[in-house]
Parts: sequence; structure tokens; C-alpha cells
Amino acid sequence: MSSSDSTLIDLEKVNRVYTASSQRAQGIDVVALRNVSLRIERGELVAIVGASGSGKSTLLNILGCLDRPTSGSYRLEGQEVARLSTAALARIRNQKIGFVFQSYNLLPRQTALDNVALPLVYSGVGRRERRRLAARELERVQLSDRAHHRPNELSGGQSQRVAIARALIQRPSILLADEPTGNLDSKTSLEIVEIFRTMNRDTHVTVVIVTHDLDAVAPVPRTIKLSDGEVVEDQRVPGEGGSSGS
Amino acid sequence: MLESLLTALESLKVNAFRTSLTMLGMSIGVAAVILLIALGEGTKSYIRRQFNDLGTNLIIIQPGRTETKSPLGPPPGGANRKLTLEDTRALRQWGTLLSAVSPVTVGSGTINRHGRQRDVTILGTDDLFPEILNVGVGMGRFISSNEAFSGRRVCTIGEVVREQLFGDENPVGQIVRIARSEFRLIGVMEKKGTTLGTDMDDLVFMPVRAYQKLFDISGLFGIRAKAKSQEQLDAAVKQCTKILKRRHQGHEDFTMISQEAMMATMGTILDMMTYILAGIAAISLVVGGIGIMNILLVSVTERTREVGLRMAMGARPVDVLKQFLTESVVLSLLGGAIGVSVGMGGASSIALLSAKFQPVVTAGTVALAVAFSIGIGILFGVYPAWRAAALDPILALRRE
Repeated sequence: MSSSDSTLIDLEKVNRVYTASSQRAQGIDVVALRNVSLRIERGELVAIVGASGSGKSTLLNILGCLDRPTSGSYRLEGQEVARLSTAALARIRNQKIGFVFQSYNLLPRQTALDNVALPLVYSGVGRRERRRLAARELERVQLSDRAHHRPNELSGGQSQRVAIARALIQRPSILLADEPTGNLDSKTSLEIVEIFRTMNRDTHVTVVIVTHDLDAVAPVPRTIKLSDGEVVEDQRVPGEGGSSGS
Repeated sequence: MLESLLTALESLKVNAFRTSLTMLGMSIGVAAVILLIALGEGTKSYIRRQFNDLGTNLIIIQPGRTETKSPLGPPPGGANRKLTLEDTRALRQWGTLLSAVSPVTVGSGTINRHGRQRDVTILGTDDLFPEILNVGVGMGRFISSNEAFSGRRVCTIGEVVREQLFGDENPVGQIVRIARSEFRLIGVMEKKGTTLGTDMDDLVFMPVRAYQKLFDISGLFGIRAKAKSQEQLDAAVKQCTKILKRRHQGHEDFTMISQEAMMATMGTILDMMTYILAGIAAISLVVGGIGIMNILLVSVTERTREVGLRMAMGARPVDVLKQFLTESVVLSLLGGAIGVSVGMGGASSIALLSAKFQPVVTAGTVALAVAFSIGIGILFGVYPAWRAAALDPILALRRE
């Protein structure tokens, strides 16, 4: 399996080791990821599952360029990012990665519109243009009527849709969702997952959902299972091809 | 830049009460600095006016000399050669740059009339003295040149002395007793008030010769001269020195003090006083700065999650640093602006309450206060801002 133009994420023998910094725990290293090699193509819809402590959060942080591997290589769209500076990583997060969190993480004092526009602040887009783009993005998640509401005036499902709009506003290559349905009831969860599916199908954005509850997101075309920091299962469901086209 | 400014204002608005309290610290500090500098400047111009009242172009000549430079002249009593009336005459004759020269003797004594009495300062001088000190005669006349050097027992008194001794009576032509000798009163000076600590209205003037006879002395307390113009003051001082040196067999056993030199010295002293006061006030600015740092540290802790989110959305550490630093500077600058207006308001209130004393707020003072405010904002904002910028986004996002 060699990497090609359609390869978006290419992890090779990635290790992530946490070295305890306190005096008492000196010398006790925690291996969160062990020799993880993984390739995700453009347009895939992938679920990463595993029990807590399996290393899935660590993997997500590395995929999202919030963290760097201790060793190994991570190529994102062919660019080696494992050794980039914090400022360079911030740039990549801004341009290529959209985050969706379990607890939405909306800024409480800002309207839905300004929350959606937040990533544009860090790519130097002017205020008026930001709002115009944010309004368009809110329309895609059917929340135009909530544009001027603050997060405390939104339901959980609405909040998560605002967060998805925010994640997609820069037209990122990857949408990384960390337990996106963890705070939602099952009906709303289905709606949210459906949005991911729709976005994946319509815009070919690669979607990676991290969850401990596979049933909440099923069916997905590809499931990667982690245990003790290692990939123990990488399963593709035939017929659920996502939009990768391969 | 505008972006960070708006964000800063927004987050300061959220905790409006907390923000105002923090700004209050800055405001008090800046107001104190502005007010104290204004008072210092006011004092300086007040004293300058007092000196000018005394007569500009004034040259004070005292007997004796020390190598020690002092605007107050040599210590009294140390002179081995006195200044004399002959010295005065010589200055008058050869001092082409002088418009007036007067001998001065000073002492204290009691003046009384019909049982009413007053302890006063007595000046023995001549007819030109009023011109030198810029004082006028209100009633009657001043001592004439003839009287001054013949030693006739006449006198002119100040307004306060007249009030005490005569009340509503016309004093001119009356006989008073000074140090047990009888003097004829020939005039009353115009009201002048207090100049540099001396009540000009509480003096008694008599002919210099009469004074010398009365107290049995031969020399003078000093000589007062007036240069023809301010520009010629330095040249006039040199000329006087030359004339007196020749008369004193080449010895420079006297001291010249010009009005200007005294004023310059006083100015230096007052400047120093102002700086010391402003320095003390600046301590409260530092306290205000610590308040800002404190509130920013709290803010960074409260908004750790927000910082994490912003970083995940692509904020670089430098963006976060800029955000908090802007907040700090906005806080200190707003506080400073309030302080400037309070300080200026205080200064104008004082100016309204006092006719004589006018505090002065200069543009330079305001610029200094504003610059100081920005400086404090940066100085005390850097550490909290750096703390925020150094946060690990993963840990920050996980914080509840």
C-alpha cells in the first residue's frame, strides 16, 4: 500500500509517550500510542473507537495537530507535520482542520454567528466578510433563524450544529469530531450524525469521529479500533464507501 | 489591531464591576501624579511671581564671602569688612548699568505712640528703595535723599503699622517713638502684602544715617541695586563687583546675588520637590499595575477553556499574547484617562478656590501620565498574557 495523491492522512510508526514530570513519578513513562501506522484517504468517513484509555484521544490530538508524536511520521496532504513549530501547527489547524467537541465549546458571550466566524479571525478576514460567510454556513446547518442567539439560548442539538458550521467554515480537509454525540439524546444524536454524513457526501470532507459508543454513529464505512495505544482492528464495511470513491 | 481592541473591550464589558474597580486603582494613581505635578508647577509660578513682585533685575550685595556657593549668601556676622555708605555712593557714581542703588540696614525695634505699640522690623535706607523693591507710597511721602544722608529723624510706615498705631487718625506729621527716640512720621506705604515670607506692610522705614546713629553702627546690612534691564543683569553684576573690588583694595570680600540666580536655585529646589512628590504618587501607579496583573491572572484562569478553543481554531500563541496584552493596556489606558480628567478637574477646582495659587497642568504632564499608563499596562500585562499564550491547548480544552 503506497501513498498516493488521494491519501490525506498518513501516519507511520507513530509513538506518543508521556514522561511524568513530577519528582515522585520520575522515570515512569506512559505510552499512549504504540507504533500506530494508519492511512486515511480523502473523502473517507471513519470512526475511531476504543475504551477510555485506549489512546483514541491522543490519536485525535495528533491528527488535529494539537499534539506532536514523540516519534514517527505524520504526513498531512503529503506534508510532514510531526516536527512543525507551534505557530505552523496553529496555521494548519486553522486552514485544514475543523474540530467538533463533545461539549460544543462555543464562546458563551458571542452570538451563534460570531461563534461560527471565529476561525476566520485567525486567518485575517474582516469582520463584515466573516459574518457573511458565517451566515452562509449557518444556513447549511439550517440555523439561520438562530444567528443572533447566544449559546445559552440554544438547545444541545442546535449548539452542536453551530459548532459543525464553525468547523466547516474554512472548508477544511478534515473534520475531527470528539464524542460529538456524547451530550445528546439518541434522537438528536442521529440528526447530528446525519449532518456529518451529508457533509461528507456533499463536500467530500474527510470525517473522523472518535467515540466510545459505536452504535451512536453506526453504520460507518470504516471503523478503526484502538486498544492500549495500538490499532487492533481496521474494518471497512463493503457498500458503505463514504465518498472516497476508491 | 482593531480586532484585538474590540475583543478586549468586549471581555472587559462582561465583568464591568471588576473592570471598574481595577481601573479605579490606575485612576487614583494617575490623578495623584497629575495633581501633584500641577501643584508643583503652580508653586513654581507662584514663587516666580513673588520674586517678580520684589522687583526684577534686583542685585543683592552682602558683606563677606565664602568659597561655598550658596544662593543665600555668606553666613551673617562673618564679614571682616563691612559695606559702607561710601560703597553705595561709589556704585551710584560709577555703576552705569544700574538704575538705582540703595543702602540697607535692618533691625528690630518697638514703635509706639500714646501707649500703643508694635514690635516691627526697621529698615534704614534712602529715597531710591521704593523703586528697587517695586513699592509705592500711599499717603504722604517717602524719605528724601537729603534726609537719608543727613540722618533726620523721619520715618515712613507700612499699612499694618498705621492701622495699629493710628486707627482712623491721619498719621502724617505725627510724632512716634522708635527705640526711645522721637521720629516725625512723613508717609505711609501702599499696601503690598506678603512677599517671600516678609509682610511688606509691617515695616518701618527711616533714613539710613538716622538708623546708624540710633543703633550706633557704622556699616550697612547690605546694598540693593537694580540693573537697567534684565539683559544687562549679568553685566551689571560684573560691573558692581569691579567697582567694589577697587574700593576694597582688590579684595572680593562681598557677595553678589542676582534675582535671577535666586530664582534659578528656587526653581531647582521646587523641581526636585515636584519630582519627589510625583515619584511618591507613582508608587500608587505601581499598586494599580499590580491590580491589573491580578485581575488578568484571574481572567486567564477563568478563560483557560476559551484560550484552548481559540488555539484549536488556529490562534497562535502570539495571537493569545496580543489579546491579553491589549486587554491590559486598554484597562490601564482607560484608567489613566479617567485619572487625567480627575486630576485636571482637581487642579481647576483648586484654581477656583484660590485666587493667588494656580495649579498648572501642562500638555507634557498629560503626555507623561498617558505614556506611564501604557507602560504600566504592558509591564504588568506581559506575565499574565505570557501565561495564557503558554497554555497547552489540549489541557486548556479539558479544563472545566
